[in-house]
Amino acid sequence: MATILLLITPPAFAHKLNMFAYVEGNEIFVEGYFTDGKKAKNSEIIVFDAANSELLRGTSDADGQFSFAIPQQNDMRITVNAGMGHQTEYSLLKDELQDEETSSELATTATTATTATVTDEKSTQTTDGSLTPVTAVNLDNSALRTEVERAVGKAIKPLMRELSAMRAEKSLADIIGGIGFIFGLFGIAMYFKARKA
Amino acid sequence: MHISDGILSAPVLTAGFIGTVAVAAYTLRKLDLDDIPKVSVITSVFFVASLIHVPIGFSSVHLILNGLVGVVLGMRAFPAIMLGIILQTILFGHGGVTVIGVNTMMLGGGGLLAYGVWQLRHHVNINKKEMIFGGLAGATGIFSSGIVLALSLVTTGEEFIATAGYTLAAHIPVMIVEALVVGACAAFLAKVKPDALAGQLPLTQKSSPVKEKATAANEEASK
Repeated sequence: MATILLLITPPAFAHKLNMFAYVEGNEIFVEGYFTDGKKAKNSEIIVFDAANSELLRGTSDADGQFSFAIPQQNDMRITVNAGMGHQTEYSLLKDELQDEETSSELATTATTATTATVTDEKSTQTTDGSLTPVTAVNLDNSALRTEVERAVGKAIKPLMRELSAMRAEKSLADIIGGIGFIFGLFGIAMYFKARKA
Repeated sequence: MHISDGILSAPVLTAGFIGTVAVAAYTLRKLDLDDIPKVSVITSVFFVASLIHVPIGFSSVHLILNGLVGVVLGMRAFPAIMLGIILQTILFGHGGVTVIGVNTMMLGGGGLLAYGVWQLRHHVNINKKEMIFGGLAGATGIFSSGIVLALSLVTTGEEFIATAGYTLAAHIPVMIVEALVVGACAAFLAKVKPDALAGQLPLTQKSSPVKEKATAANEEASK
């Protein structure tokens, strides 16, 4: 099995593996990719709890993505292993999940009480310009909340991607700084050697 | 070709560090004052090489150049690669801090083997042997590092044959590119500045650092 997996995984070459993970609705979304933009396909994704025991594992799809239902309301550590020594991890903290917990609590109270119903009787305009009358869109609080969360989640996805890409980017300052370090260290070595001589 | 944090087990990581310190201490013996500028320039080249991406088909590979470091620095390749890896880890996030030892053994060891292959050129008498053996050394650097990578991944439970085959297959493009780059560099240096290349004399005795020093002294005298 491992052999088959290894064979179908595309060559990963020697690029750095990056990932990002975030909560979207009731699911946790994980995506792995290499610095040259290639997705970490068929990579093994393992989720650990705070005590470092495995919660679940899975394999990313052709887009390097993987999502799973929130397994627990606590800190989690998610690792992505793209094979050939490429692995990265992300710690998903309790705080990031907290919202979901309260929202699901709210959802249960809202459905049992069925008090707050938002009725939207206005007509909405569709893209082709024709007016479609929406007679009554009944959205209770919880449905609205999940809908908004999903929309916001979708909207910030590119931002999250950009952000983690920016974090992984090497700046010119790092390159020049590294060369400076090398010359500086050898300069010091030379200084002491020369003094001895 | 850097192994990330969190893959290898503690004994393997520790062995990597111990091996790296031992080999670095041995290969740094009797470092000449005159050698230092050359070592520092080549270390910089190695450090930056991993950022140079060569597009191949739909994908891209980045240079490693541990073979070139071996051809130019000889035994000093190991400490040079070690420093390069430390800085790549800290500044670029390649690999990881706990894996510096294993990564240095992998790439630095490849550099030393490349130097060994480079030295074999003294035993043949053909045209353009600098280019041919430079190319071979460049490919050796990548090939042997791939083997070490596969070996260290075996300790995590991956099967050796599959991992090694897969790793080497994935690195064939890099091997070809490096062979061309190192071969061209070696041929160019042999023509323009032959004393910049490591190992002017064959490796007949084990005490090569002393020998190199003697070579350097001879060159000094001949100037």
